[in-house]
Amino acid sequence: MSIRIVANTMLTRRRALAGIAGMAAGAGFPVLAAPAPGAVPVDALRTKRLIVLSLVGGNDGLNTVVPVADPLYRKLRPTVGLPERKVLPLDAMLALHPALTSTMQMFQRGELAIVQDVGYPRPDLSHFVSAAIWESADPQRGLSAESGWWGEVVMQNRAAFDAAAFDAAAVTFESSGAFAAGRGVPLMRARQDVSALLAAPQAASIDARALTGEESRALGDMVAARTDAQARFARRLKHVQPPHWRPYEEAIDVQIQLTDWFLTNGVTTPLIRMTLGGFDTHSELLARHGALMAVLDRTLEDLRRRLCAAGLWDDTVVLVHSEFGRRPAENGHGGTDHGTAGPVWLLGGRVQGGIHGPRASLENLDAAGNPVFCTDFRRVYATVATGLFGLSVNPFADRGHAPLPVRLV
Amino acid sequence: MYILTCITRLRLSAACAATLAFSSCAVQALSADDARHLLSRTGFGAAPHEIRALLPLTREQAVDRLLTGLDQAPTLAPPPAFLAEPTNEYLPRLGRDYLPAAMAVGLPMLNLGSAEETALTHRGMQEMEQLRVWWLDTMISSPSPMAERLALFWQGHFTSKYFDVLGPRLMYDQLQQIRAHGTRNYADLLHAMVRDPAMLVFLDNAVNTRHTPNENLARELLELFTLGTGHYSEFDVKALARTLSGHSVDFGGDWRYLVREGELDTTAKHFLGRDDVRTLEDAERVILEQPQAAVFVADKFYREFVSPDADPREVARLAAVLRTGGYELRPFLREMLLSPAFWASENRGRLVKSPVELLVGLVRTFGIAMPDVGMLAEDSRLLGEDLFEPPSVAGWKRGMAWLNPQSLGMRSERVTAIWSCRDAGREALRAGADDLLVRFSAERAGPVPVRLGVRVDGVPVAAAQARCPAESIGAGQAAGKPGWDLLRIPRKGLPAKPHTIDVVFERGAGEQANLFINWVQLDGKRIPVYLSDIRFDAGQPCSAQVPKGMMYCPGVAHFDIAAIEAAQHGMEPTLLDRRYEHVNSIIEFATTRLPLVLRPAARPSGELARDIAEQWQGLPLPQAVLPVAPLLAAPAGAVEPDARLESLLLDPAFNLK
Repeated sequence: MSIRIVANTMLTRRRALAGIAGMAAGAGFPVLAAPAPGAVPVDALRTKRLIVLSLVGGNDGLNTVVPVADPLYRKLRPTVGLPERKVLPLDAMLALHPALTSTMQMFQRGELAIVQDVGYPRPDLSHFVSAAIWESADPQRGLSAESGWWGEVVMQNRAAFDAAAFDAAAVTFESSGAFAAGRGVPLMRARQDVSALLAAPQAASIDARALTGEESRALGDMVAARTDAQARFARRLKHVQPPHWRPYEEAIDVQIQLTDWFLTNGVTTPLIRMTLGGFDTHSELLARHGALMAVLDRTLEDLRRRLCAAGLWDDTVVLVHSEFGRRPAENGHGGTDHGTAGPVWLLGGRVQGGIHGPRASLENLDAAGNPVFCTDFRRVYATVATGLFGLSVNPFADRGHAPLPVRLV
Repeated sequence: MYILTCITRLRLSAACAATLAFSSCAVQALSADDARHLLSRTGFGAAPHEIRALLPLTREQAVDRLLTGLDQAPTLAPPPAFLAEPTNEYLPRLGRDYLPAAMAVGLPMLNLGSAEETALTHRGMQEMEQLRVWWLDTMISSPSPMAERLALFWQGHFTSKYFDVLGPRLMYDQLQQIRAHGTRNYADLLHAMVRDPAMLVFLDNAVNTRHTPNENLARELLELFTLGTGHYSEFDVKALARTLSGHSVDFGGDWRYLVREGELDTTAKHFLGRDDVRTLEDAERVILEQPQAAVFVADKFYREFVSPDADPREVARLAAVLRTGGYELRPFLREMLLSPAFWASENRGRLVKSPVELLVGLVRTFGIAMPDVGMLAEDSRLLGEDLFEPPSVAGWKRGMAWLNPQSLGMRSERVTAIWSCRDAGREALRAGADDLLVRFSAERAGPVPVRLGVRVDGVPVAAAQARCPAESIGAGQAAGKPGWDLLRIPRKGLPAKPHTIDVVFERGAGEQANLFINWVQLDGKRIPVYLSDIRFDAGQPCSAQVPKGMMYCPGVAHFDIAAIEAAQHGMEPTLLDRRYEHVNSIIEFATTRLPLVLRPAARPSGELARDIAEQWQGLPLPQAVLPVAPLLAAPAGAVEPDARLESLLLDPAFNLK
């Protein structure tokens, strides 16, 4: 058994900085005031950003962050378990899927925080319902929820968001944007064909306030908000070089390129949401999941590279999650079926890297053979609200989901 | 002349007794806006010919005509094809968590994860899609859209969710019960629903037994279907659950309603203030005796058809009509539709169209011949209303919950996609029985033409471009499925006995476009693409691994007719082709044999609609289409009528009714 125990790679920038600052002060040089480790700057909402990358279909977490030293892993996955010699060790127990080489480098730099076994009580194994639960942060209402988790954050911190005067409260490329649903939350949906963003928005023909009927007025407000958001984007982007598209673009590459285009041209938005599909691996797990891990790795590497080039990596957190994990026991077709908890990743220049949160037992599974979650997903949102953006109202903490002890700044 | 007609129309309702010819009451002939309002509130959209048909009538006459029309059974769509294949292989065999109740009622259990169960799951999905297409087509082509609108309402009230029932035939049967009773009598509908197999499975009553009681149906029946929270106690829920015990489903047989005599609890129970409730019939009677039962229903109807703000006095008045009328629905509907509140200007444009109403309304209003009704099923799913899959037992979203900045954008994208395909369906209407037809769909990124050609015996006979390709390349999750288009080559001029047909996909370097070929048809015989040979152009990276017909590279689908007929032994491809490995692909093998165009004769316009704008001649356009003033400016200057209509369709106000 040869598991390389990766030395504590927590030689964080913060300690290095502290060292340098100390040295500099001692030597009488002027000290550039680095922010105290972990203290959220006062202007965090304006300077920080969150990129949410949703893996659609239910990513097999157990073959992503692999408990390779747990004998039950091998027992439950005799054919789809990953060979020990191939995985990339994180610590004595865990390892990463072999394709995640760039991700591994980020972990070694201390830029990747892995929160283990994140889920919610009474798990729903339907894609639509579980995805709706993650988007709304409402396990009770799921598909019937009327606001999204980010929508809640914006609505409850109205003054801060108004003062920040973003071009959009969030940007999305695919999906209905349910995560941002809420009154007065301007969401921008962007497609590869950017003409809709750059075109002059269709003018309103009447003043919405003059309309009778609550519904017409509400619609009028939405039209006005959309028009304003479009105008703001058009102002930033109309006269700059448009994105250069290759003959065939994968959907994820479209999203990355548009994100890059927006950020490097000064579009202001605190949240960008991307999706990567194809994770519903009921069969041929090894081959299909392997290909997906390679795409995920390449995606994160690409994002990191571009954000570093733009000088934004230290002020960005990438949140990677999926609507559920998959069943520990393999099924009859070389795949795995819908499960419950799975890992959440937080990556960024200032993220406190490492493994966080307890690991679910593979022995005490629930009645459907799935792990019982250890960390509620709403704590991740709470961590973002307080620990990244420093917002005064944290709707998730208010409901009893405290932020995680993972520094993001 | 005018006075004569006025007198003959003088059927005064009580409310109008004091106000003769001037006010908004029944003696007035309908204005175009009134007619549009009545039609779009009770049906799906309002086509010009439907509006014109109501114009000479008074409000009373118009409402009576709509109500009488409820009895016109739609003759049109043949039932979903899968019904022709009876089966009792339904999914609870796949190991639902019904233990130990399942054992008690003999529910067969199999292991999860075998290839057979996967095939079963996918077959169910295909059958449900057929069911959706059938119902949507009925909504589009019915002479009585009000019947289908009421069915949609009731289905959102007495909810069942396919995902938890997993029996397509059960969902069909339940819908048929709703359609039969939902326009007639609420008591009969309730009676049918508590014995409906889909309902009994969905809410676990099929496994509600004396030893393993299950309260799910009892609770939802009281809370969501009949009385509402606060009008019953927990003891009532328990009593009702005991009364419902034994009302189950014949799992071992045909999955029909079955009473397990041994599980019945016919002891005298205390329920809603009565002491002698023994049977399910007793319980139904006691529920319907509660004044709240009628109020609950009337309130829901009011919010769904009149205004989102329910006036309690109006609701009480309507509830009384329902209750004293033995829960007959026609007098109740008549009272509601003739009430001043229904016609009041402050209540116009206050209701929001659900996705199905929006899309079916669009198709009906403009007489669009859908080349593929399945597109509507897909689109309504994308917009959040997947028929037969309500988000919960509480039913669908209501009112403004359907609209937010994101959904507004998606709705208008779907409307645009259907509108831009309006010409594709006309082609299908022109098809002759023997013509050479090629059914295909296409996707692209950017304004590149998607080009295809057809050769017969090596000779080019047609070159065309896809009329409405989906902008789905690079759009990932947000894209809808491309709609089917049809290329028609008249039989005349083709060889008498052709040997080969080639469908050619051409694409230039750097162009992002894909073509999906479904089938070809000649002399009335349809050949699915999986019987063809696919040859990609030299140097193209596409391989034979991709399902046949999905042309991600330029190339040819080569149909060798003689060889195919020989291989098929002269028999035509099967009705239900359950190739589950294709269920996620754009090709629908299971629709190969379905009728090409569903009953064009029943379409409202009858003949081909050459120019949609022509239909609107004489009707004031904005008022005829929108319930409120447009929110967006109409295009300036001299504009083509179609463009003007398009700008109205894309106006957010089009979402209201």
